[in-house]
Amino acid sequence: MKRPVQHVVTDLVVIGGGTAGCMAAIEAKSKDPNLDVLVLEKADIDRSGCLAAGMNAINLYLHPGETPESLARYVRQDAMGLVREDLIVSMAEHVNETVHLVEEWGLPIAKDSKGHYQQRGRWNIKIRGGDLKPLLARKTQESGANILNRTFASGLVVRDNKVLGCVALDKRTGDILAIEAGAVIVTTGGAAGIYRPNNDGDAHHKMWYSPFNTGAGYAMGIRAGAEMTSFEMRFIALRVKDILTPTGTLALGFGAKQVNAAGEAFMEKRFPHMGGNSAPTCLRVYGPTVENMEGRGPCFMDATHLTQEEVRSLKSSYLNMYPDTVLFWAANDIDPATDLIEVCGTEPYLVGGHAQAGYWVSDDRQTSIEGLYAAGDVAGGTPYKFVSGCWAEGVIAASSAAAQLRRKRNRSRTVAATPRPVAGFRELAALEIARLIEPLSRHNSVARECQVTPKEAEARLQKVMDEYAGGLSTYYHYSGAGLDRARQELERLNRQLKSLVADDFHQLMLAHEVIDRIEVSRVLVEHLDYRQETRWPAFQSRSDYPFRDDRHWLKFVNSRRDPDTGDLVMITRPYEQMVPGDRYLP
Amino acid sequence: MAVVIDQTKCEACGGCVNTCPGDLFCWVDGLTGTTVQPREASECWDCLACVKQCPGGAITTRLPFSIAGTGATLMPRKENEGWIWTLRYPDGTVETYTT
Repeated sequence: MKRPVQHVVTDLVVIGGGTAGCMAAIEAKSKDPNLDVLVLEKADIDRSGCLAAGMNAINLYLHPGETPESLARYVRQDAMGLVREDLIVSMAEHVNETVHLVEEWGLPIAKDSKGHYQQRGRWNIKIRGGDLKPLLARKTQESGANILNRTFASGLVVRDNKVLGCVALDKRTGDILAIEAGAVIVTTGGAAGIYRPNNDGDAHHKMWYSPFNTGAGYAMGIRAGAEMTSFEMRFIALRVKDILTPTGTLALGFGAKQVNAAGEAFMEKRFPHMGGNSAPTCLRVYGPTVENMEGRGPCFMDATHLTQEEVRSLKSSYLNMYPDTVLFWAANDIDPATDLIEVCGTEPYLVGGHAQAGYWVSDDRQTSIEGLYAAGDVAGGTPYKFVSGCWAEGVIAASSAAAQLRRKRNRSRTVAATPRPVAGFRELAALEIARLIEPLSRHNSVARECQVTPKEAEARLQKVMDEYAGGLSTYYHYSGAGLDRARQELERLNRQLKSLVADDFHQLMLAHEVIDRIEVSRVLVEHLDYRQETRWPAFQSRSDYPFRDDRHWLKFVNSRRDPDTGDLVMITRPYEQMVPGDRYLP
Repeated sequence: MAVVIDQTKCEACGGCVNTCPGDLFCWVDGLTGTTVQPREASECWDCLACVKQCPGGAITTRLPFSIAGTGATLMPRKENEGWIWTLRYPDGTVETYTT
C-alpha cells in the first residue's frame, strides 16, 4: 500500500515532549534561536508523560551545604555501589538552576521565613505542581520550537553509526513523516507495561508509572545499534496498595514508617545495618516484599500520628500529584489519621530516572550513535534523577546538540544549520516506513483466525515476563532456568508479531508500543541473565546467585544489537570511582 | 480506571480529545450527531487532565470497582491560579480542598 510521505528537514528533533524533552527544546532554542527545533509528541505536550496529573515535590535539589560530590556519594550508596559518578556530578551541576528557572516561569514553591526553599527531606522541596506540565508546555511553545502533537516517532534513521533523522506518523491524519535532522535528542521516558501489573481487567492501567511510556526510545535505539546499560537494574516502587500512588509523600512529608501485620517496624529490625527506614531505595521495597513472602504481611505505613489538619495537608499534597488517592481513600472508607495505609511493591519498570536502565551516554549525553543524544528516563547510568534531574539532562543534551550543530555549520560555512538532504536518507527511511505501516495491511494477508491484536500481544508479553523474569508472581525473583523459558517464549512471540494487525492509526500506535516492549524485554532478559550476582535486591534478585559479588561484578552490564545481523552482544564497562569514600556509605 | 461523560453537559469542544495523554477520547458519529466518547475505559490512568480542562464540567472520574467502592466523587474547579476540589463521601459528607 503506497502512502504519501512528507519529507521534513530540520536541525534538531526532540523525540518525546515530556519532562526532559520540553526542557531540551526550550534550552536548544535559548542557546541558538536560529536553530530549527522540532518536538515530536505522540500525545499532546500539555499533559503528556509522567507529569500528566502534576507533581507535589522536587525530589532532587542541592540544599545549602550539599555539593555534586555529596550527591554522588548519596546516590552511589543508594544504588548499591555501582553508578556512573561522572553523570551524577554533571547532572548535579545543572539541577538547581533548572528549578530556579521553572520557579521564575511560575511554579509555586514553598519558602521558609529566610526565603530558602522549604526542605522536605535531604534532597527535596515541596511544590504546588498540579499544573506543572501545562506550564512547561507553554514555555516550549513560547520558545519557538515547532511542536507536532499526536505524532509518534517509530524509528531512527541511522547510517554508519550516525543518526540522519527519524520516521514518524501523524495519528490524526495518517501522514507519514521522513524527518532529516542534524541531531536527535531522545526523551521518550522509560518503559511500563513490560510485566503483568498489580491490577487486572478494568484497572490494569492503574499503576504508578505512566502506562503510556512504553519504551519507544529504548527500542528505536536498540534497533539502530545503540549501546544500552543496566537494564537489569529494574525499578520497583513501594506504593499505596491498589491505587499505586507514591508513598514518598507519606514517608518524607509526614514521617510515616513501615510496619508489618504484627505492627513491627521491620526495616529497623531487619536492616539496621543498612539504615533501617533510610535504607537504600531497593531495600525499602525488598523489606516489605520479604515480609509478605514469609507470611508476616500485609505491610503498612503508619501515619496515625497525624492530626486532622495534617491529614488535610497530606490530601492536598496528593491532589497536586495523584488526586485519585484522595478519591480512593474516600471510596474505601480509609482515614490516614486512624487507619494504617497498606503498601506494596509495583510490578517492575525500566526507567533511567528512578533507576539507571537506558542509553549508555557520555557526559555530554551523547549516546554511542553520533548525533544521537538521550536525556531523562530514557538515558541510563544515573538513578535518582526525578523531575529536576531530567530537566538537568535535557539542558545538557540540548546544549551539546546545539554546540555540535554550530560546529557543523561553521565547518560547512552555510548560513543555516539545516543540513542538505543526505544521499541514501530516503532509501533508509523507506525501510523504516515499511516496518511502521505493515500492521495496517495485514488484514488481507493474515488469516482472520491467526490475526493478533496489540492487546493480546501485550497480555502474552506481560504473562511471560511475570512468570519467568521476576515479576510480582515470583516476588521479583528469577533464575537462569526461568530466564531460559522467558527467552524461548519471547523469541516465539517475536516471530508471531508478523500476525499483529492494526485497524486504524491509534491501533497502529498500540501495535508499535507492544513491538517496542517486546524488543526491550528481549534485551532485559539477556541483561538479567548476564549479571551473575544479586546487587539490587527486589529490583534484581537472582535466586541462583543470591549474593553480591564485587570481585566479579563491580562493573556495568551493557549490550548492543548489531543492526545488520540482529545479534545482541553483551559488553561490560568498568566502574570508575571519581568521588572518594566508601561506596556503601552515604 | 474510567471517566464518564455526561452528554447533557458536554459542549463537544474536543478539549478532552486534544489533551488526553493516552488519546483515549474519540469523536463518534451517532444517530443524534457527533459526540465525544471514551475509547476504552480500562486504558485510563486517572490523571484527570480531561476533567480539569472540561468547560462544561461534563467529565467525572470513576475508579474501577475491583479496587474502589462506589459512591465517592472528586471534582476539581479552576479558581484563579489554583483549583478547588470537591470531595463527596459515600455518606454524603463533603470536603473541599484548595491547591
